[in-house]
Amino acid sequence: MILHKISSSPFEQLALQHCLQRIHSSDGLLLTQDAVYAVMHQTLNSKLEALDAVYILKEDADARGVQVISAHIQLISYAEFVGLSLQYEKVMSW
Amino acid sequence: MSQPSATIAIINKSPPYGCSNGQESLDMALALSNFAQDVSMFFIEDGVLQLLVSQDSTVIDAKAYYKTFAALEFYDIENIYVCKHSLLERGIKASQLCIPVTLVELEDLSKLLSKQQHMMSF
Repeated sequence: MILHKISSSPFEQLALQHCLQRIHSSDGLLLTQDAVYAVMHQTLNSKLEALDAVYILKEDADARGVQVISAHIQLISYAEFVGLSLQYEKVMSW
Repeated sequence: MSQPSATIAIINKSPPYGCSNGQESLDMALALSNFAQDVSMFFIEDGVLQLLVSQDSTVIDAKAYYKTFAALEFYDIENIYVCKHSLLERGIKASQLCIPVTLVELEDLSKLLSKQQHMMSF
């Protein structure tokens, strides 16, 4: 069980795409900083739906004016981020 | 002594908070305008995200510099061009932007840029 943390925009960099090609279904995906723009990405958005656990840092989404409509994606706080990093065995920063 | 005015394009490609490019380009635009230069602003790729009206950067302790875009018209910066394709790619409508802009097609960008004497890219 790995928590994959992405922080770059999927429109600028391929970190999220590379991660999605390799992620295991029991792993978690956390979108922080400019990676919150992933919910605007038409093709990647549907790939996020296929994962069991997708988290997005609420502060980063709110700051950028990004609305998360999908019920599949869980909005989390910084405190919950810390909790997740303990819940998963490892954290991988892409 | 007055300097002759030059036409200058400022091109924004970066999203607002991952780096300081957005803030710096806006400062540059306002400063150039103070020296009576003819500034045009271009927003392409992730640069269009700087203009989203729904931003609230106070929650990440970042300066809400997007509010300063509203000042551009008082600095006589009226040519604000936004790439239509970049908006479409991100599912953004022109009504979600914080200021009135001119939408441009992909192929018209180089035509507009070729009319400028100088270009700066952020």
